[in-house]
Amino acid sequence: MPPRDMPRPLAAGFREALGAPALGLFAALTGYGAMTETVGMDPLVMLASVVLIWSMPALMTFSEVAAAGGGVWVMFVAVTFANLRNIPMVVTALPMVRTEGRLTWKDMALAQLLSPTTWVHILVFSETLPAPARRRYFVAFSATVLVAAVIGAVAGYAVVGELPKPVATALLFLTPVYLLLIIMSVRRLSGYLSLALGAVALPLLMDWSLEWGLALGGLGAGTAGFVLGGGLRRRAKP
Amino acid sequence: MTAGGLWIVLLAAFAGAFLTRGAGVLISGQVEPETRVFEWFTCVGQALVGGLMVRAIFWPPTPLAETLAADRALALAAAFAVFFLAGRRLLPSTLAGVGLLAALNFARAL
Repeated sequence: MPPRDMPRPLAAGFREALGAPALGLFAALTGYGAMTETVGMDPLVMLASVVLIWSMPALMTFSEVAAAGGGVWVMFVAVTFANLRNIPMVVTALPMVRTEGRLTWKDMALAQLLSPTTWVHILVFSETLPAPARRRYFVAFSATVLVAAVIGAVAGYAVVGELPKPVATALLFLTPVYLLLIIMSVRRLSGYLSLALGAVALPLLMDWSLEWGLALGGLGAGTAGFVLGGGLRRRAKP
Repeated sequence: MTAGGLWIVLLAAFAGAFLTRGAGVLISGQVEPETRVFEWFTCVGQALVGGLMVRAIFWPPTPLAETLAADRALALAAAFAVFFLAGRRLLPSTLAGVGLLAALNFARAL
């Protein structure tokens, strides 16, 4: 598909994000806001965590480890490992947006704004956009879903105490389900196997050790899923 | 944990998140993503996130633990069923699972 004309990429990115992408992130972060309220997290810390961490798996890890009373080192290791999947996401997204021949601070800024929702949009739509407009388009897109997410987190935090208990507890279910479904969107056998093995191994190993269980469980289940799913036999694309 | 302690662990979490994004930026200029090592990276990420989410659903440190595990399993199955039957659409699938759990919670409270 040839790139379409785009005289105002910021406005276009904002418009594109306002539908399902913003609503999805709003809903997902409502669950996070509700969860942090129930564990008694300070609202400013909750807001700062959304903006600074801006990754649902890492946010969930932050909330879980903080609720469990984990210290600085446990938190650093847990969030680093929970956020590892951002590395391939950033690695695959930036080359599709970058127009300069070298790395700049703009790459780090876009990487910080990147979410799985934006990543999918970059992979699917970037080639339909004129190259010079892509960065501004996706910055506007990412910033819009981030603002929607912040509003969702505040809404979840503020209303969860006012809601009937059956609804408030069901809201805590929203974020983990949303993330499991996002992972299921990546259609590859090795990915499905890794998810299934991680789902069994991680909770058991984290009962033994929060820090080591997370690291060993993720590495072990991911590696087993990769091997069983034929990752070693697959040829790299030329 | 005190408020000050929470801000410090938040900074540790930010450092971890920033480190992974920074690593992605540095690698992005040099490495072809469609390789075995990146498939492995993705698998490890999926195992980690999947495990954490299953733990958050079935061994939650929140009031979600007050609901029946069987109800949570049923709601999760409903979300997956809608996801696969309705063209892998995230929002309706998620809301189907959450809606069913809320309905089951109401029914148990009667």
